Amino acid sequence: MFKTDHKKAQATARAGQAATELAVFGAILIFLLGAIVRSAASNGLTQNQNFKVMRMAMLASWNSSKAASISRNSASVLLIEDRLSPDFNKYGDIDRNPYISNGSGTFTYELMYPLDNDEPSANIPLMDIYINGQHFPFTTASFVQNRTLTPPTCASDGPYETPPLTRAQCLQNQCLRNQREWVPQTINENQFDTVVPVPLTTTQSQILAQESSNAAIIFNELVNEGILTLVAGSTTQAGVNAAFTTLPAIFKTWFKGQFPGPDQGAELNGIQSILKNNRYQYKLFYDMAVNGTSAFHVVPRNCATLPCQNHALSTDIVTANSQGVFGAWNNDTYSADMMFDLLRNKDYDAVNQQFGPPVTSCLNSSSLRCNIAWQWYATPATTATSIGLDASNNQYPTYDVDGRLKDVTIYAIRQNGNGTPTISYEDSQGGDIDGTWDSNSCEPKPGLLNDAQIFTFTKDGTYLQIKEGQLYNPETGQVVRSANKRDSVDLVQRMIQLSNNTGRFCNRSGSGLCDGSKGVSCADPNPVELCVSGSSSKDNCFADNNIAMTCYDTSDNMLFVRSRLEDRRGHSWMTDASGQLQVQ
Amino acid sequence: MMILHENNKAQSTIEFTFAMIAVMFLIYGMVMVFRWAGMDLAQRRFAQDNTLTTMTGTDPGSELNPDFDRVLPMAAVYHGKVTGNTTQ
Repeated sequence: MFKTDHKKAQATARAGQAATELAVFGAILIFLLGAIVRSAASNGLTQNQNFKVMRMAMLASWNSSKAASISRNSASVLLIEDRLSPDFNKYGDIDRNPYISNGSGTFTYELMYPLDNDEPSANIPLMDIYINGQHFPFTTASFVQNRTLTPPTCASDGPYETPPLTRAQCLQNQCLRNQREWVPQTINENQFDTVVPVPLTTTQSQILAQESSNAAIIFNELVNEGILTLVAGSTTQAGVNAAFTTLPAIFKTWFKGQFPGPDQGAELNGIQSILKNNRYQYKLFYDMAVNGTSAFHVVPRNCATLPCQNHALSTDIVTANSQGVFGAWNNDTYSADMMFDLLRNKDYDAVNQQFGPPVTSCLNSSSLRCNIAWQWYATPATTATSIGLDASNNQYPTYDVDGRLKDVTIYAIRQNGNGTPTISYEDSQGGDIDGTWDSNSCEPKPGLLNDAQIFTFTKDGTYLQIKEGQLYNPETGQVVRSANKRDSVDLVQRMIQLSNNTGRFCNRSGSGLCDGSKGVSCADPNPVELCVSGSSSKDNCFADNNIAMTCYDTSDNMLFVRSRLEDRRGHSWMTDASGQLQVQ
Repeated sequence: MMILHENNKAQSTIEFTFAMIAVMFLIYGMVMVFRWAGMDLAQRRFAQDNTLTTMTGTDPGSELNPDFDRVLPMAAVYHGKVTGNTTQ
């Protein structure tokens, strides 16, 4: 009897064992299926976004081409979407995963179409970032027209060489570099043609009316010396043209006759004073080229005179030589140091430590100076020819023009009477995003920052509401109800550091406006909703009224992209439970 | 003893039968999910290649519609609206 009871108990215990095992393993299996579905959905979204972003890039390139613009010849699109991830908890999908894809494509028939000097605004390069449907077209360059370069005035501190540099130290280095690369000179007779440019259409009275101009000063000087005869009241060109077109030869003869040697009399001091006060100067443009070995030698650009002849650079272009003459380009012991001074800080001790001392010949020399490929070379920015600019053949050279250690592409150059250049150029560092950023840049690293934040706002307390109240208690035998709903907004904040305030987003009050001349089309308007200067607690992107808006802070060029993602979902299941088993 | 023995008779068969029905549903669902996971990627690739080589009208830009894709219905149990027929 005892044995029988034991077996009965065993049999009872085994009853439903298969169902129990099925429930356990079935649950595991269903869990695994859920994980597979979740993973597969994620893979599908990723694949779809990769395809999509490539198409968007190619389509942008094609549409740009159709609009006769080269802004997106090689289009680049960054697509960011915060998608809900399939989930199997009781509240439904809650987690948002960022899906980030980048695509680039070229689909244009204007691939070889150059940027023209007279139509830059609609052709500056653009890159596109889409963040949860908001489209931000960022320029990656700017076009600067007719900028007259002048020697900067710098403080006396620096240069600074120990990283990391502060922004102020970095800018000071740039200023010193730029200042040092101006070449002031006392003019000599060979440069007289250039120093006194007299258009043949200029009349004597027009010259004399410009009392402070070089031409008028020297003209008067020569009149006083009796070299030229002033025709009182002359308004004709004939006499002036005759005089000035023959002036160089006359001047040379006069100058040599008067001053066969240096420091010959009061007249020389007088004319030197005039010439020094109106001295000729020019800017050195720098570029890097392979020039280190005989195997990799570049022919200097059209520059028949020093300093670019044979790339022989003087070490110190601001200090006058022993004769008091500026810009004495010679092959002294430092002549090559400038080429190897990669940061152009004029720290030649550091150059010697890095590359070894100067050598007189690279034949059979193991000096690093003879073998390093990339070196600076300089070109006087005097004429289009001197910098290798040939617009008729689409030859647009690239140079560092202002000590930033970054090249710009020059499209036009002209020079005024004392040698100061005025240039038009495309600046790859002047756009919304500086794609050439590196450790030599003074501004913060631009682009999308790593830190993203998400905030959830609910409406009327309906966030994750679940209704299973007593009215529908299954014990009453009526219905079983399961209902939940959510009415919320996920606010996703991302930060984009811009390089410059180009005025494309905040050049007006209000927002959402278009400006075709600045790359913000009316069909796809400016998505920045607010611009602040960050000067007060209310005038910043985190003030109460501003926190939900896409906001641009001009004080530090930070763009806060706020995506407001509405989420209104729910379910309501009702099951008729009458007549079913009830819990007693 | 006899009663006990008769009570256990064919129990495993019955349990196996019921369990197998449920297991078959699970297996069917699993197969369909695996099929969906692969087919979804494959059909999107197919649609990608197909649309890239099919020009509508005379504008090559028609080949580059970014919203070319539709999610393949999972249909693990039935053709519902959970995963099917909505653009991503």
